[in-house]
Amino acid sequence: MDANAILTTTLALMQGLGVVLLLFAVVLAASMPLGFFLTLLARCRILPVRWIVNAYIYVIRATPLMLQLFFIYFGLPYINKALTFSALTAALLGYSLNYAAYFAEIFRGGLLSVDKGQYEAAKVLGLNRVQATIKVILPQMFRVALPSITNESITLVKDTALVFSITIPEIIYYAKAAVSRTGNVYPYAIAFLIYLAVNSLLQWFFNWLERKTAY
Amino acid sequence: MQLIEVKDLKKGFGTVSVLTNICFTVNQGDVIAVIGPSGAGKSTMLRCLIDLEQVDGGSIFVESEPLVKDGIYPSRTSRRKITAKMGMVFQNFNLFPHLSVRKNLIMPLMTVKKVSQSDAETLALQMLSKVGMEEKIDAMPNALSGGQKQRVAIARALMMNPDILLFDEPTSALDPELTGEVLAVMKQLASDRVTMIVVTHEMSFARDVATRVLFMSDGCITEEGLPQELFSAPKHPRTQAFLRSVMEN
Amino acid sequence: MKKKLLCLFLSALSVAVIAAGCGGSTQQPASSQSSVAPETSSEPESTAAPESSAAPAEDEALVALPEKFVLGLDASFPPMGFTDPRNEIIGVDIDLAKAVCEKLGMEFEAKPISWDAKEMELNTDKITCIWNGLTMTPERNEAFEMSRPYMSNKQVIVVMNDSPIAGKADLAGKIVAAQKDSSGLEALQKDEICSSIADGAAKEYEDYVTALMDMETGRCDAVVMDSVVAEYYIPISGKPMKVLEDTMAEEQYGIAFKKGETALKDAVEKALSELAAEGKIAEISQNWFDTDDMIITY
Repeated sequence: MDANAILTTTLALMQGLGVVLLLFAVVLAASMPLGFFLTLLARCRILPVRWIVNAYIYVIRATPLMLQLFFIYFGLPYINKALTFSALTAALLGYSLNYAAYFAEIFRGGLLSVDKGQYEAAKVLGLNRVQATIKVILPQMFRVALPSITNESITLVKDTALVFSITIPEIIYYAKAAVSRTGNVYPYAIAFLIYLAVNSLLQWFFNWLERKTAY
Repeated sequence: MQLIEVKDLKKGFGTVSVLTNICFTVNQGDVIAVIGPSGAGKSTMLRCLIDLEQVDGGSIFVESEPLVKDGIYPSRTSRRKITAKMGMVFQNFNLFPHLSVRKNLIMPLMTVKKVSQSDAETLALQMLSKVGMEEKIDAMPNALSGGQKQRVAIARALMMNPDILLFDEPTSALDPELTGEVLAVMKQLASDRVTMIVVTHEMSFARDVATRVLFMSDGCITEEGLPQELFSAPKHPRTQAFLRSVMEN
Repeated sequence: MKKKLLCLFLSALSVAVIAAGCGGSTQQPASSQSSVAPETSSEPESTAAPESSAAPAEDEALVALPEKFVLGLDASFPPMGFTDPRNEIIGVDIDLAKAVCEKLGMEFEAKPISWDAKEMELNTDKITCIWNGLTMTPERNEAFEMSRPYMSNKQVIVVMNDSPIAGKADLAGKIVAAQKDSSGLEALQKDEICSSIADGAAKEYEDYVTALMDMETGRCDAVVMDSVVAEYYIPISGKPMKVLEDTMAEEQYGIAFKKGETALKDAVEKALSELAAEGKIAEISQNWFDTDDMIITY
């Protein structure tokens, strides 16, 4: 095992980094707003809507992500041929739907922490509901939810390792392939360092964001 | 000119009656102090006026337009149009903690009335100087004392140029040494002929500044009159008992 | 600054609301595309059938073949199918399958799959076959359309060079390891020696690499695994290990197709026979095993 071999293996593992970053970015951008939308729906006055949303959040959180991916990738085509998604589409869909449920719960907690007086102050100043939500409630909710959002984001990076269950190769997969090729486990150490590096950047970013949004 | 007319207001929470037969009017330039023991329904009554609570019966007219008529409310939009004529100052200030003092003042104006930022900022400076807070324009609310917060809250309410200002126990959450600065601001507003309804436990304010005093107990307006009359010669036994107990303290 | 952050958050929000709103429509093209794919691949099948029956039945097997031959594998099984340092998939099975595809005019694709999902992959037509040093078992004959065997394999015992274990009988009282769910584990369990090894059962590992690593550190004394893999692994890793002469079981590798895909299976077998006649199979064997007779020819 020389430096050259390590470099080659690192480059091989880096091929999995692209998928990890793509999944991370798309899923985060889709699931946070979707989760917030679910939070709002869960407070909707129409009772059946609330039931459905709460049932959705419950089921998603109570079942393994891998089985959900299996369902979308392998199961949906059985229900309807038109629901045959490419592996990447299925992955983006599965992860986004999954993480939206978690974010919905995080935002629910955030909303609960915003004082009732804030809604009242916004109302007596003439802001309508949408304006009050966007200008007053959301920023405060976001601030409270930020540590949990950081937590979920870091988990998401690591959860991308599951995506190979529907045939999308990622870092761990390439590490395994390299381990079986070389008969040496050092590729796992490289995978370890890649994840650590990505999440360190993420942690740094969220720390910065937390400082910037402090009040 | 009559700004508010309240007729036969009724409200209950379940079987408990909170407000019964509330009737009164507010004229331009009035400073009305609402006093009475805790649980008398003072705050609830005030919150009904600005649509934070809904009544079960009766009518509220603001500048002759009905916020509620015989217990029936118009659409939310028309209610918002009516409540926009009023401003409110809360016991707990309810400043927006994520916004600076400046943003607390200009954001509602810019959002609701689409006023330009520079116009809004000019106005903000005026209002802040009115309450003596212009130096704190860039402070965050959490960096202010309670009295300062309440003065900013008053300035924020003034930004929307309301015809009537409602105060819900504005000094109750303050340390005693901080109530003075808030009362001074309110006194100044009164002398500027701003119409105000003030729910308060500050008897000195009610006596010295108010133009009229409503005494509430058990959800009713038990007695109403000019401050000097009500304080020196209360007619109703409940009023007498209440005034005796506050004066003793 | 805060305004910017808020804007950022809100724009993300609006994007997602739009995305959620048009979710159905944005996915539509993707789904219709992928749903079209199997249709087009099945189209030549149906349209070609009458043509070829009208034409002389020169190559009957060809008519039912898919355009694309997707080979599903766990690409960490050297030398049958594994990944090279540039993450290209290579191996004995890959070379065989490529030669078959060339002969049958099919486009070749090697697709790494999660081994746990191999049945689902095959049954939903996401892969055409599993061709990955797959040991033939009665269960697999039942579940899949299995080809005839194309390679023999033995379950062998690997020990450290300085191990006192010299034969199968010496395993008594020792810790013996195998990969979970593997035919090596099965062979060990069926062998009479199993009852006398430590704990009366094999120590199971996620994969054979970790089992061998653990043998190096002394946590286990012997590993039962495919001879094909052992012969590849020991020299390349340079570890002081050896394969004992005693074996656990003889077995054979086959190709698994979806149940009922007999035409395709027959075509692949026929192509393999032709390749054997052309000497191509011997060449592949020579390449990977330094001997030209490792792969069974018919």
